[in-house]
Amino acid sequence: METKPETTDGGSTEEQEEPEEREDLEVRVSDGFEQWLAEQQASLVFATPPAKLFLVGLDDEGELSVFERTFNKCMGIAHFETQTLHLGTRFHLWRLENILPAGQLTDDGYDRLFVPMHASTTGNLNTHDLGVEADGSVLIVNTRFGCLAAPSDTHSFVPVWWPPFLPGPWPNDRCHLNGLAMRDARAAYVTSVSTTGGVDSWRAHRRDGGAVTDVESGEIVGTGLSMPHSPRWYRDRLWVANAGTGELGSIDLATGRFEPLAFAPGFVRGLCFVGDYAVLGSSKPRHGGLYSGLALDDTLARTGEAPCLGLFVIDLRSGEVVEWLLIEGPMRELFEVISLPGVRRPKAIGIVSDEIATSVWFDTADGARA
Amino acid sequence: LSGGREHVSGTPAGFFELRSFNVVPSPGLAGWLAENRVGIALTTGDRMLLLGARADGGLALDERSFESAAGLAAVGSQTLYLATRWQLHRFENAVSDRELGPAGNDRLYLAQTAYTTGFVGIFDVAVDGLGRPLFTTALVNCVSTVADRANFMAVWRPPFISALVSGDRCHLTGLALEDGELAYVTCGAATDEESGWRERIADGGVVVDVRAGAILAEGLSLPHSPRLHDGQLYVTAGGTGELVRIDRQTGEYETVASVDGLARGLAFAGGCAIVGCSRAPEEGSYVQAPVFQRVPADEQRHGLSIIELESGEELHSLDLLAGSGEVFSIAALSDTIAPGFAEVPGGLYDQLSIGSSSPSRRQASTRGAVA
Repeated sequence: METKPETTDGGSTEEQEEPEEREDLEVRVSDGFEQWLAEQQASLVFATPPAKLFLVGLDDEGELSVFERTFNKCMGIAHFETQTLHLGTRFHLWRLENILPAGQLTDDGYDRLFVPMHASTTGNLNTHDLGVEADGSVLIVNTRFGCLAAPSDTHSFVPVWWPPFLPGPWPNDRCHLNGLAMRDARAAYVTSVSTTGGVDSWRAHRRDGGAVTDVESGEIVGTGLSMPHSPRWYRDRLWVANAGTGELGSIDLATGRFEPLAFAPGFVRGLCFVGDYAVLGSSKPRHGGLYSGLALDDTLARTGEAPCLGLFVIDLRSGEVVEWLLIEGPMRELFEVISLPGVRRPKAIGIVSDEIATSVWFDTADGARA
Repeated sequence: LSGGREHVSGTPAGFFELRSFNVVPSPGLAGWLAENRVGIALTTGDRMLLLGARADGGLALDERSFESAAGLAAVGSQTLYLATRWQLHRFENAVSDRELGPAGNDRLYLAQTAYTTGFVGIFDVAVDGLGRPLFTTALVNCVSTVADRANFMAVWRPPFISALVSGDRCHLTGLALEDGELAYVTCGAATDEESGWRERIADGGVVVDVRAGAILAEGLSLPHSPRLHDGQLYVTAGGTGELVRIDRQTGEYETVASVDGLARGLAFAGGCAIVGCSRAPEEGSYVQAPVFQRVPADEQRHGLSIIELESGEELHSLDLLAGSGEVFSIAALSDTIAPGFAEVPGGLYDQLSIGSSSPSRRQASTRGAVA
């Protein structure tokens, strides 16, 4: 089936340097996708840089509901208790809050209405993954400086951790630190494309120089990866999207080896888990430059498959792709996908249209809300 | 010239051409700013200006665009709040006195945080004793602060406002703090009906004593910008174009000085008041302000006046010749010579300010890092 995303975002803002044509945008899903989403009692939120945030759920009839908003170079997404969304964009870390009281729907039937309530200016950090700690505070994967960072009210960011192979939080994206796995609401593992310290040196190590580093010990626990992204701790395993080979797999922490579970036709990046399933993001690699010379290229050439932009639902028991959601349109990249358990149909107010100025919710000191 | 702008040749000395304004300072303005070590932040139209003194004695001036730039509040000169159409921005100074910015600025403001307030009429902002920004939410007739999970939290409403509802009833546009607590609020009129204040432009304005829960002074025209200075209460009687001093016991008031336009935006430095002045707007209720009958259109001014409190004389001024818009707010930046914005045009957000790690909080997750 095909769905045109619902949106009210129109023109461009000062912040939006690369306005995106969206006339051709189309979302297609596999026959069983809606049924699967209904069974899992979850919704999905994903980001396609350079500009779009998608919120995917089901409407009253069980049909696909796709809501789309514009944020400049939106990449990392994380949620806290399904009430707060954190979103990394080109220069800001946005915090969106659900303003609906528990159990209440919007007039048009959505069970989450996320409003961008707070923006922390990070400056240009090439922010990748985000993580949320137990108290709700956010960790940023600061790719430009090769470190984990906390947002700050008074500074662009505060560095809190960096891998042992870098001497400190350095600019110039040396190892392309890009992914963060949280475990028990603490930073546990990071992915990087290399373990090198030279300026922009990671590009020479894209085929097999990727690593997973244990945040607590500083030890490298996975090696030989190709542009690994999106490390996630799920059901006592460390999962990684090995983007350069198009594979989802897990790391054997005893040997440091990557054990592939599934292949998807694309540069795989963006990963979340729902029950017995992984939801894996897939991008269309650009020809040349960054994406050339990867094993993914060879595999796609051999099988004659075209790379896809979208999401693949993979059964963890079999490794089979069981459902999918694909996007037809001008964009090529998907960075992150998260699931919102227990949420059926989310929507959000954007920062482009005037709705952000004219829709106002306030509290009073005595606890009332209007 | 601060902010990387060039002096326009062929124009009179002290005449600067910016993207949207021609700015004419009085000859002694830059010297007065330097002498008092004070910088000025000013909002007008969709702009925020930063004024100071250059090393060569000229006026340092920087500006940025912000949609509907309105209320300003400075905390010393380290932190600066700016209300825009739907956000309250917090700027932080990113340089110290010892390491000046590339253009010689001793304060460079970097936007660090923005709260989404929605479009609620933030004419005035101040920071309370807890470090929270308090601001007028005129479109909901109350004083508010920021909230985690809402656009704002209402903290106070005037006794004559029966409910917190959307719609400007009393034109609550100014607030003053004392000892870190809300002390005085100005309203266009003490009315409880939507747009009721618009019927009382000439003399409906009141100053409310928040702690007493009562009206202190009345009969003012469009009062704005209440401020406590040296223990005395000043407001601008906007609609009559006056700077007014109010007796805090009796509520009686006296005019300190008059300006040639709507008076709004007030700060103090060096024994002087810095008062904002605006020409008649093209439309809206403010057109009816008495000052626009008193001062002919071609004599109305747009800019600021520096008025000596003791004499009531205007010592210095700045006129904004071109570009529309009214002065909304003025903040004095203490101990500042040449303030500027940190982001340079073309390199927006490329300037970073990096905090230091807090070992106590982050000890667990920094273990294993090679410092």
